[in-house]
Amino acid sequence: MSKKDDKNLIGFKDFLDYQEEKLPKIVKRNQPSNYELYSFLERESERLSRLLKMFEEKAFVMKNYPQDTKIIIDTESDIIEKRIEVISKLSSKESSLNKNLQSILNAHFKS
Amino acid sequence: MLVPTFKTISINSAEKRMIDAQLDQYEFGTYPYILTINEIIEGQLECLTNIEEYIEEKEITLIPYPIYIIGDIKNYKGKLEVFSSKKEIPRFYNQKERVLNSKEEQIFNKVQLKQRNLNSIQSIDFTPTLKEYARTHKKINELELELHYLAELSELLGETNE
Repeated sequence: MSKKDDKNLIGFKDFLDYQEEKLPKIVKRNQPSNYELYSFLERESERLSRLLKMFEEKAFVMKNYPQDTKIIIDTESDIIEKRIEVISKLSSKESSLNKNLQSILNAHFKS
Repeated sequence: MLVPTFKTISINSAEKRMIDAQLDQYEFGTYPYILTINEIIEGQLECLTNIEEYIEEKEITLIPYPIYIIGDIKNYKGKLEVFSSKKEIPRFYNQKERVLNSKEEQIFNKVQLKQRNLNSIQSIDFTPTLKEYARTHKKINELELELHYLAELSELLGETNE
């Protein structure tokens, strides 16, 4: 600021200092927000509800109406069927495996 | 009863007798607990085994509130989770305790009611059912993988045979 500006501000300085003193100060709160604990309790309540639902409904159904054994039996029978299918495809005369084996054996042992 | 925030217990001995006596003073299942064993210089693993034995003997479940361990053991694969410091522990229960207002008290009453419900349900003990469910589903997964492999193989053989 130039000296000229300083002269122009004579009389205002006291006024400005007074205004700064009057400005409201920002009060910092040391206490945690009121909603922090409330939202925690709400989430905790929700979490417990979900656990209750799992135990009361899902685990109850699992215990009294298990489906696992039937699914395992069905899948095992499907696997047996697929194995038979694969074996029959591999063992047929026209299979690529047989053809390849035949050509290898012919190349090495046929005079 | 207080809001379910972390309660810390400092374990200073690896001896089973001492651990049992110390842990007997607390009510597990109503608060999440942090057991610090890093003050024990030698025998942290023994201490952890003894804590696990205590939990099994007293049939303490880790539902709804967990028990975390702070110690120097690394790559531990047991029932309890081990952390090297408090900072690593999930922060969900890191709440400052204070007097509740009426609104908070109202919801806290609900929380308590649900806690009691859960404890009574757990006395029926669904753990074997859940374990069996997990075991059978693992088997189903293995079978399904085999079936998928065989289906793909069969399809490939069909294509090459043509």
